[in-house]
Amino acid sequence: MFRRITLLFLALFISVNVKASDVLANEYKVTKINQRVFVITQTWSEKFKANMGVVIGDDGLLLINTMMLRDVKKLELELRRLADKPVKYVINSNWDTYNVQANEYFAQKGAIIIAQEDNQFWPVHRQLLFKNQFSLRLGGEDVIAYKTKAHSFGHVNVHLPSANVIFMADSYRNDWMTVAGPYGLEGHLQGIESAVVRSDENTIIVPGNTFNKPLSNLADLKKEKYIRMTLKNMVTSLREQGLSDKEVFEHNDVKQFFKKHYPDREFSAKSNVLKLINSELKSPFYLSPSQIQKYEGKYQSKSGEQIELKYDGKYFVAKSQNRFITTLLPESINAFSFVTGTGGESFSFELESDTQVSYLIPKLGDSYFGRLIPSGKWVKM
Amino acid sequence: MSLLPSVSGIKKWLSVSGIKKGVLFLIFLSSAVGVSAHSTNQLSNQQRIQHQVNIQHENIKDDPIRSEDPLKFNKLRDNIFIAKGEGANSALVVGEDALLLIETKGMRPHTSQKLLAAIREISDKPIKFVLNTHSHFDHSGGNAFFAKLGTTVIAQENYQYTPISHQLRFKDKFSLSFGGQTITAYHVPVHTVDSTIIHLPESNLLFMGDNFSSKWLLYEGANGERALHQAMDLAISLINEDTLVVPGHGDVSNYNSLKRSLVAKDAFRERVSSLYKKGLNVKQIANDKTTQEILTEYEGIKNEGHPVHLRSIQDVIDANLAESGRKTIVQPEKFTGQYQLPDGNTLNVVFEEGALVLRHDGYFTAQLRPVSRDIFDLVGFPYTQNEQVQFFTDPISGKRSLTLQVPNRFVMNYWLLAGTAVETNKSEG
Repeated sequence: MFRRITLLFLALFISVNVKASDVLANEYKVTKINQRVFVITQTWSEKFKANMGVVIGDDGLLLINTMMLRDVKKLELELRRLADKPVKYVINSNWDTYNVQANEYFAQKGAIIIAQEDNQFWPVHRQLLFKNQFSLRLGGEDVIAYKTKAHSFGHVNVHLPSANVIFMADSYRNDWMTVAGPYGLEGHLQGIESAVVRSDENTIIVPGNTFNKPLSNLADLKKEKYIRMTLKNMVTSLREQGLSDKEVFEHNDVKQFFKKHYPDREFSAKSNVLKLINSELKSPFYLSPSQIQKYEGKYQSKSGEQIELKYDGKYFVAKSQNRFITTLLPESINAFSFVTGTGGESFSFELESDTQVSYLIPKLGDSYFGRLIPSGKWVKM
Repeated sequence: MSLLPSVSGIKKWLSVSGIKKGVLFLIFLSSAVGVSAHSTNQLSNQQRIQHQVNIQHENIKDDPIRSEDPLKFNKLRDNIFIAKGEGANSALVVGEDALLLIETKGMRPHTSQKLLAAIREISDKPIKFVLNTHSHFDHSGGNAFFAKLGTTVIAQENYQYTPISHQLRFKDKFSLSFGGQTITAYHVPVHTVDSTIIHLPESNLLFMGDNFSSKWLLYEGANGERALHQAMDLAISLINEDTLVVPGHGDVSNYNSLKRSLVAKDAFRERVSSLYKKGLNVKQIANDKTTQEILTEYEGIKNEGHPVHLRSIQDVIDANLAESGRKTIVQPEKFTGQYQLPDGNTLNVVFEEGALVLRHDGYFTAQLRPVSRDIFDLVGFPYTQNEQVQFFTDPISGKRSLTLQVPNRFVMNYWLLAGTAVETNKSEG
């Protein structure tokens, strides 16, 4: 599966032969943090820019993310302008395509690809996986990658204390509410707080995606916490007044909130509000410890793929190697909803009796997860 | 009073015991020799490593591999080989286009060259990765040699408090896809604070390092019973009766032997703790018949009161006291901070997981066990000898300082600093 997907990526992108003359003069902007640490900001469109990091060691470079494969030749030209050295290490902030797609390209040239271990549940190239924290010293810089509960399974922040910079990738953006991730607002705020405690007034915060402000700072992180809590309180209040989910995200107060804090953006508030409600404000259906155990275990599809389900104290975590990992909340005895879902994505369960779960049936429609998880009945093993 | 015996005493004991493969005891010897003649803190990493190798070389007469003999890798599993002698058991994993080496040995000045020659008897492929089970020199002494060849050394993050060469550091667990194997290292702070066990499930292999020996009750670290049981529970959960369990030294072992060692360690610890609580001292405990029976049954030798057993008894006492000591540190902020020695070396005192820890990058890390209001013993490495640190607060300026007193600068692969260090700030901890 992993090899097939990798080959698909290659088929899609390897034929793109980018010459030096193709490089737009302003496509990449390089920000020097110190003599050895740089932020490269790539402009993808008028309102969409992406950041990555470069650390120059004595005998090689470390990249914080590899970006898109189609752009890798252009990126290499930029890297050569910084230092004519091979890429020795890559740290992935998470598994998002635009962070990892050129992993294999650099690996084939000898780079070691380092990521958090939950990246094994996505079809991305990786070699060295760590659980909670990983560090190395390169060119006198300590580079510390540490797991947070923000944005996605497999997400890490990358902290360079000497350069006083933290690469937060997609766990923070200053132009819009980033995806809070599988642990909802609580996980998002934990990730923000982990950066706050490592920061001072001079710390440079590097978000993954940017618009008109590529770099941020400690004050921005504190503002992010305030904005998120303000929205939570507003949505909680509206729900307590008896408004439906749709009435809440269409409410004028909510619209004004987004207009005030994100005047330059025109994204819909629906997704953020629904995810907030799903992860924080809905009361999960109560399952006793013995009931929880009945759902835990492995489920197999007709074609042999497997999904493993395990309870982590708050959520059920469903995962499948090279395919997906996500959190679920019980809504009834036979339906668990996706915490990050906005279209009613869920797993339905068929129970043979009070003591036996027989089947898991994905109810994913045409959602993102629907493309990753085959439909049909998955039998409990 | 130091419990360390003279070198001649240990040689005599080794001779009497008939043990010819006592690598453990050679490690012990290396620490016993000490380097008090070196009066300066200012030695480079390479100088400190060379000093260690020289000490070990002087005392390695009982190694199964003679100095003039080559090292040799023998097949352990498909594409996995093992080489004994001149330090820890080394394993070589042969991948498609590269090699991975577990343990770089380091007992003689030319061990690394001999290890490389043995590797080249198996394969000409480049050595891409080195892993160690912990930072003691007999496991990691060749790291710098292989790093110079372009190898990437991956180690547990507490390696930063040793002089051992490494590039990548992990905290609790990492895994590496290599040669059709998923090689996973787990941090288990038992034998040392940077100890790991390394699991290769596809080959059903588990490398235990010095967290396990089928012949000796090895030092189980300052974290005592709790850490040992966590590590053993993990190890046992990873293996089955067909698993080859590779100890740090000696013959390849198995599931039953691993479980047997845990039973013996528990019995030993329980007996020593019980007698200690009754007021017996180390020598009295060593002369206890039941204690001797436990040791004799496991190790197969009778040596009442011999130095390694004395040391093992002291270690159990230290670990137990260190555990209770954690509860008595009520104001850690009185001690935490950064302190600077006159020669510029910087010491950090931090409070982590309920314990005060004194550390210095590239030199050492040790838990501080309170023995009085301002005086602490250093624990956390084997064969300690009353190393202490005393804190002092100037009544006029309020400035804090600490004085590090060490009988010998060199304890295993740690190089202890000595002298009085003055506080530079109060921010850490």
